[in-house]
Amino acid sequence: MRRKDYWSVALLVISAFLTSCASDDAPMIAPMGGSVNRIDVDSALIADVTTDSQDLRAICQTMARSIINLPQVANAVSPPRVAFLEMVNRTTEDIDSYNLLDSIRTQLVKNANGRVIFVDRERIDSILKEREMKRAGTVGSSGPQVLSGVDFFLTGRAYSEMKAYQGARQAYYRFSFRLTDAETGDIIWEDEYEFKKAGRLGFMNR
Amino acid sequence: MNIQKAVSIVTLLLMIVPVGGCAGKMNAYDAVHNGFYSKAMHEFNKDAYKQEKYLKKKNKYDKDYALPYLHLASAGFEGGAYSLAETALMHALPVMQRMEESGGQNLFALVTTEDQRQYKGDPYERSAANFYLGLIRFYNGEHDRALALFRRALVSDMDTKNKEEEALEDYTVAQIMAAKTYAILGEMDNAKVMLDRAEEYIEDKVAFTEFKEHFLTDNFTVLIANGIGPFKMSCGAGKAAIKVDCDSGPVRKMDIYIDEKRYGSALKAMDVTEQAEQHTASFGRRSVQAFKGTCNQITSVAMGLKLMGSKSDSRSWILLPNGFYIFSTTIDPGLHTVMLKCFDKKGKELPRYEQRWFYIPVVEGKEGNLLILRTGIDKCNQYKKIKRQRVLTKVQRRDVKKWK
Repeated sequence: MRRKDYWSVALLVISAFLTSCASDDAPMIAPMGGSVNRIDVDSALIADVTTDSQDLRAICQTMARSIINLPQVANAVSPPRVAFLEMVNRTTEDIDSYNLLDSIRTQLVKNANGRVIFVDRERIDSILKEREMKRAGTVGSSGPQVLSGVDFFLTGRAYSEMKAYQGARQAYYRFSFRLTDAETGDIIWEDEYEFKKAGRLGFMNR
Repeated sequence: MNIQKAVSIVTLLLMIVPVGGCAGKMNAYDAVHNGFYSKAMHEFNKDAYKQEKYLKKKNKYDKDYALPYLHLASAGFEGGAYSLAETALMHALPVMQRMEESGGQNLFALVTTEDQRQYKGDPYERSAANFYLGLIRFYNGEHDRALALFRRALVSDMDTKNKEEEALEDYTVAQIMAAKTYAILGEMDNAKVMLDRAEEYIEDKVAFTEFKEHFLTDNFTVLIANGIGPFKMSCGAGKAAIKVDCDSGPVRKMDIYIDEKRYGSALKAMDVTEQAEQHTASFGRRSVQAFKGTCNQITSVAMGLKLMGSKSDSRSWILLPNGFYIFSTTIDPGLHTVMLKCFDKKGKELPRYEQRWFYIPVVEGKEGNLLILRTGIDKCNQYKKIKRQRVLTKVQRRDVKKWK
């Protein structure tokens, strides 16, 4: 067999192999198709009975107003320090509790207008490490200061109860918040925000 | 090149092409049931990818959008690719649970075949999607999110009714897993309430009473899916009605061995097919279908033609299991060998269904150590699979062909 023949045979074998194995290799999950539009943060494009950003904003505004009007906060000589400890998610929604806590804290900080100071307890390890480095002279410092103590602990709990019947959905949501005195353990304030949503699947999906 | 060599090359080519061709053409659904998970994942992913391309072109939700993702999730889940299954379920679930719908699609489905509407699954399929995603969250240690999804599975199940038209909360496997999650989160009262609710609908009440005593404090749980689950078929006049069928397989009892020691039998937690049978379409939808079916029947007899499409929607998540079994115990932390022995209805052992899993971790201080298995023939004898008969039923095979 001449060299040319070997090449043609090899080419044939490779092409046959490629033909038999050819498959449209798709990435594991392709990005969502469709168009993208910038929409207002309060608008709800997808109608559903779950919570959306509009609900979260309303909850936080109401709670922040309620906290600011507390005598212990309103009459305080200096703004009290509050640590937002946890937000327990007991809703029927697959949402990240940390993200929920984060967004509620952001809204509270924005709405409290400096009448309450939120203390960061999540970053306590990094803060302590930085202080050690400052004390050791590894990094510069504007002078030693005492770590802020907390006057109150703020905790929250989100709860929902959903009911369904023949394609109809009804969801009841309750977001409750509690302020506990860090010195005495007394509950000085507790408030809740409730709302209900209802919807129905289309005729062909019932 | 002489003739002899040319003939041998042609023979070689003829041998290569069919072998290569066959390797690329294996049915993805059979691949799942035969344990060829990577092959199945690839095939289902191609389907899902096609949907994405379709979306880009059409710029609206496709009517079959969620289905390939559900199949991809099943393949990923059974192949142990939980992150892939999670991503696939997160694509499918928002579409399945969305309240708003395309009026055009629904109207079209109303006057033509029912499968022209967007696939949102029946309540048992929505429950299963939530339950599976909940299991993944549980496995990852995200217990609050797992609980939300188990509860959501129970909500989806509220749409189903029994023969007496009573709405039931009998998605027991989700109740049992929700109870475990509540216990891990320290809410024992809620955990007990969930178990009590499950007890109402569990078949083997004696075994469940014993199971209940230790389940909430155990540190190792095995969840076993068995059989090939419910799939829908069009039937009746003009194929306008729907009926549910399944293949429960030969396994009726499972024993769990840990480090070669028998620990006990798994408890039957739920029958998925029973859940599927509980759902009936609303009276209005049934009436429309019956009307379309009758019209078609009359016109086809009188004039020899069908005036409108009347076929019911038989699209289903056919990779669901027929039932869930659960086993729970307390064992020492460390790596263990877990063996599953299966028995038929006469109590005879099914040796080809035996599974042995090595290095199963039980982490110290972790209550939610979970092992998820699925029964299947020759799962521990990979080399035999090529020769084995395929496991899908004729009806499923026909449906698969249609969808593809």
